[in-house]
Amino acid sequence: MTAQDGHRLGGADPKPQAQQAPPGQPPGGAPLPHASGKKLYVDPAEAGQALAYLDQAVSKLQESYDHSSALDHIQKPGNENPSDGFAKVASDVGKQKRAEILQDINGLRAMYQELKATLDNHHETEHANADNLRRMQR
Amino acid sequence: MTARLRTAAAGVSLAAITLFATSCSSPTVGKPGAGDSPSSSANSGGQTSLPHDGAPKVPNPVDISKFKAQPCTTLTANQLQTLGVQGQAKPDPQSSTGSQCTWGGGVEATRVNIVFVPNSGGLSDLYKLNKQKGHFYRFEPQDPVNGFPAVLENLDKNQLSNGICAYDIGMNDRDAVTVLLQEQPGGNPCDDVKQVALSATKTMKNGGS
Repeated sequence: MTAQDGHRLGGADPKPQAQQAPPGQPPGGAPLPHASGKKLYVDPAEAGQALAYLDQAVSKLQESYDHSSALDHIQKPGNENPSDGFAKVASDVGKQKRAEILQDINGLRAMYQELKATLDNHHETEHANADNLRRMQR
Repeated sequence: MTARLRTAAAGVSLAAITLFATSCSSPTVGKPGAGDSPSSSANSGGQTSLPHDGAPKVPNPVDISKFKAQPCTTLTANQLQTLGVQGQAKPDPQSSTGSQCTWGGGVEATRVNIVFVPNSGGLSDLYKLNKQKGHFYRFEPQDPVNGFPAVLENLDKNQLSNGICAYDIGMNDRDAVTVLLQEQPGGNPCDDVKQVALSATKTMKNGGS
């Protein structure tokens, strides 16, 4: 979801702001302007596709989460020290990966929900405007 | 006398080599067992018989080799519909972390992942892992699921609050299945994963229907 994809995520804010933090992380303790940590600007006509991309991204991350969870079920091959080390590294790597993936999932989930709420709001306003116009034309 | 000593020394060396070869030729990762013979349980970290480490014996074991080969057949279309799980099934029978299948996923949809644990000690291996301090955040034996011993498992404290919970089920003494469920936070993933576990074990118990 970059400019190359034709989406204008962050498009109304061309210069990255120093205080903008990655999803889910507050910039320097300042209150977050949005749950996702960054304001999004998406053309309403393309918002549906943006939502689909976010959904796919979450799905991919969940797949990684599945695999990192399974790392914790790996049994050490033998009873000697290298085997102990192997199993511990597999478990620790899995744990670290899971924490990172969950953070990413939560950030994308917040973006998705915020964008969806904004889009719903936009559609409601558009319908209301259309109704008003029809009433005025009668 | 010297010749006898030499013969004895050679015998000891041969025994040592044999022992070394035996201990190094029993890797368990990615070597799922198909049957239920106790003789092959030497793969399970040097243990000689199953179950071990406090794991319960599976009272009525079933052979799940055909489900391992086709992991997406563990849940039927009717069961998926009843459970409300949508989306295409994604099989991965050759995964290094165990043969598995995944259904659903995304921001709003529930995701179900069923993994055939890639060890040959079944639930015993998981009970053994649980003896390592801090390996599982939560590892609680549950009432049997369709007659199969089950354990509720959380790998870390973040899982529940993020809508994630898992059940490990012993299908026979050598084979365990993990059902992992991811859903939107705020629900009760451990209750939901139990329902999935009930469905999957029912399918495997009935041989695929």
